[in-house]
Amino acid sequence: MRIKQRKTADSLAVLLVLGVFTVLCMLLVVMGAKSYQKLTVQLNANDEVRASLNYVANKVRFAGEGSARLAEADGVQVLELSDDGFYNYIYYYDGHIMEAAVENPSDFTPKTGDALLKLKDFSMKINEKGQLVLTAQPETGASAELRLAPQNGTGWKQ
Amino acid sequence: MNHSTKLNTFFVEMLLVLLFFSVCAAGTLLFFGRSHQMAEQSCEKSRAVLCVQNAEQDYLTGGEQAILREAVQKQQRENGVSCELWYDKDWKLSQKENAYHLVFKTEHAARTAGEYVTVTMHVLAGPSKETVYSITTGKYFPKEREAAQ
Repeated sequence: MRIKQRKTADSLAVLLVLGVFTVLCMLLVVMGAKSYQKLTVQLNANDEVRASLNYVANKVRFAGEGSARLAEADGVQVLELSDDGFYNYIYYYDGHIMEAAVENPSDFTPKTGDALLKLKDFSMKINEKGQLVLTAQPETGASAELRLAPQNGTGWKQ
Repeated sequence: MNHSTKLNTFFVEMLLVLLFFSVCAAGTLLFFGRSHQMAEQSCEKSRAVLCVQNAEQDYLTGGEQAILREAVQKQQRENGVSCELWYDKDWKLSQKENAYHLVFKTEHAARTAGEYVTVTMHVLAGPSKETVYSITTGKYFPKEREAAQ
């Protein structure tokens, strides 16, 4: 009788250790997956903000003085970059930053552009200092803004 | 070998596996923690670069006065300015000491046809004032700009 009880206790102990092992394995996998998911979301948000703001800022800088302006086209606020009779429009439409190149401003419709990047929100405005203020709101996380002085392309030399 | 000895051997083996697993799990968790920290530092640095770019653009737009207006601590020196701007954890400008701060310093040096301004910007985080991003740069301003200002 005692031998049988001991065998049962031994079997239970082994099962218990196996159970603990399984639970810990599961916990580690779940924690790892959550940590990785959080990391990916955070990095994506960072990339979305950085890519969108820098893309538009670089476009403005390359456009040269006086060829970039904020305008409204077909009911959408656009950043108009004019170059040798071509018009490049950058705007936020349908959850994306879009870019469209047209020869004639009247040809522009918001749907003609190419979607560059998906964002929760993106806005462009001129502040009281006369700077162009770009604000990007990623799908998750805080928004970020980038201000551009009226005279661009004359930045610091490092 | 009887049943009890077999079980005991298996039990010891399981304990060893559990021990090995614990060591591996500790290592993995440390790795996750470190990667999370690195991701946060990467985001922090990106925001710090944007913050510095904005300060630079403010300076180009309105000169030193534009920066000084928003500064919590400011000091006008003989050959430039030194000031501190504070930002909250979402990088919004703050009127009091907060999560991040930007130290902005300028030094003017007279040249034959204008002046050369050296600007140093440091973005520091938290009470430990750990440097997130730092840059020293310069720009030459011809005399016409001085006259215009």
